[in-house]
Amino acid sequence: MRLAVTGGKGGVGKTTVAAHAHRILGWDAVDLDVTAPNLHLYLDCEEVERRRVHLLGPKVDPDSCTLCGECARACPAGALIVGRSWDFDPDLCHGCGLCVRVCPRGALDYVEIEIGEVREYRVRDTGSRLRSGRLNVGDRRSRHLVNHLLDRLEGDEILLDTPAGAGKEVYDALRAADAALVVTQPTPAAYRDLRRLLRVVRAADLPHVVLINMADVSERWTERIEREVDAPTLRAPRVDDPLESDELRDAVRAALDEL
Amino acid sequence: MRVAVLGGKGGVGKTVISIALAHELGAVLVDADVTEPDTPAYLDLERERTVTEVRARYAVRTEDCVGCERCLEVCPWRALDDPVACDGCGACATACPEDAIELRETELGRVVESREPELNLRVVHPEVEPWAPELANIVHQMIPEDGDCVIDCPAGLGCPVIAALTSADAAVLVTTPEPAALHDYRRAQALARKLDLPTVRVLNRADSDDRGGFDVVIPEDERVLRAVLDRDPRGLVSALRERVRRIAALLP
Repeated sequence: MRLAVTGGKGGVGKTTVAAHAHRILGWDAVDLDVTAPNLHLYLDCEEVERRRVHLLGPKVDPDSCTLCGECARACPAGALIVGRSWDFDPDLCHGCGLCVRVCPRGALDYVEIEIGEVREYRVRDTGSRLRSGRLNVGDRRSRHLVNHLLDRLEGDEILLDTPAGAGKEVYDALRAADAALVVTQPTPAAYRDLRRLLRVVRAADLPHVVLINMADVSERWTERIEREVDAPTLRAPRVDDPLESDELRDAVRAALDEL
Repeated sequence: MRVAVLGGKGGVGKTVISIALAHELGAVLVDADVTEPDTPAYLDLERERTVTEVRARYAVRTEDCVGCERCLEVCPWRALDDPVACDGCGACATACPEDAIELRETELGRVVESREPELNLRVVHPEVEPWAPELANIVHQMIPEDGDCVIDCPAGLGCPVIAALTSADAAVLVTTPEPAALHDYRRAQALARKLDLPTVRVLNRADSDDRGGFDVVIPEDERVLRAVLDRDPRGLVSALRERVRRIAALLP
């Protein structure tokens, strides 16, 4: 099974829960929160490899290019401007390759554009792997890096730690998963975000359970979530040292059993 | 002046600080978290006007499709016939040799301006489907053309955060003392530096008053949690007032 750990609002304990799930299951994990990756900080692990990630953009052979502008008209990202000269902004390119395909003179070829890297760690206590996407700071193409990782999943037992939010990157991760563990907290904001996220989970059409982390912070909001959410819910307690807590670990285990 | 409040990690207190800071400055609060806009969870908002409608296109294969799959070769998301995944770029339509791609228009919601009567705060916030594409574009449309605003950024440092920062004159960087939050905060600092923005560095929910590397330290305070749970904006602002004044004083 490929299991996504997700949670609309940031800071609800998604990555802590992912770390517990990883230690319980022993599966390889992938950190898809590529603009703020930190699952590696929650696990006892050592880096074993680092690979650059590239998109394929265009480069021009000026001797063949007639400045006809076909490539610029085809570019959906507006990364090409062709007039008196051929100008390309690699920061805007999305690597679709249309420009290279449409060039009537075959004047364009591919060139690599770096957007970030994948760091691979070995987790000491489980012996399994963590692959962590890390977008270059300031790059806008996080969804490309997320999908780079999703396209290269190996094996059937994988844990996916999604980014915060409920946007398209989260949907991409959910589409790649077979089940989702949805983490929330009993606060008005986390509950609001949960409801929106569950619409995305339902669009991805996969079985899911909701884990209400720090449920004892507000009995009122916990009960409201349990009453109103159309999915199995479980409670996890507020604890002093979440990463080392047996109580939280048991709650995560119960949620995994439910799935 | 336009101030962006960001942190990288989620849950470090960006939204509560943004609310208190907007109130302190008498500025418009902009909720730039388009996929998970939270301000309505903290504030009782009275909608006053629609700032802009949000529409998008999504690609559908029509009956003329011959199954050559050129569309899938150019789509990074394999998002054909899936409005939740499609970002409407239209690359598939350009690639299709049979002209068998239809780009359908869909309404995703709107950006609205509301008023919060307790604090007399004006808030611009999105009411759009979480799968809306082109988030940067939506963020740009939310930022008022003139007047002061405080932009509450989403978690992470992705495209919508960059959009907020490129429109801002200063950034408030927020973290808590946990290692993961500090890790993301350092990336946020690097981003602000890259964009050449003056910053105010805030350590939130600190367990001591040690300033080490921060401009403003906000101690852990149960009153903030209680105000959040009770949806009490006055309580929120009053719990944060003293430290938020320091932030305001340090802005350029």
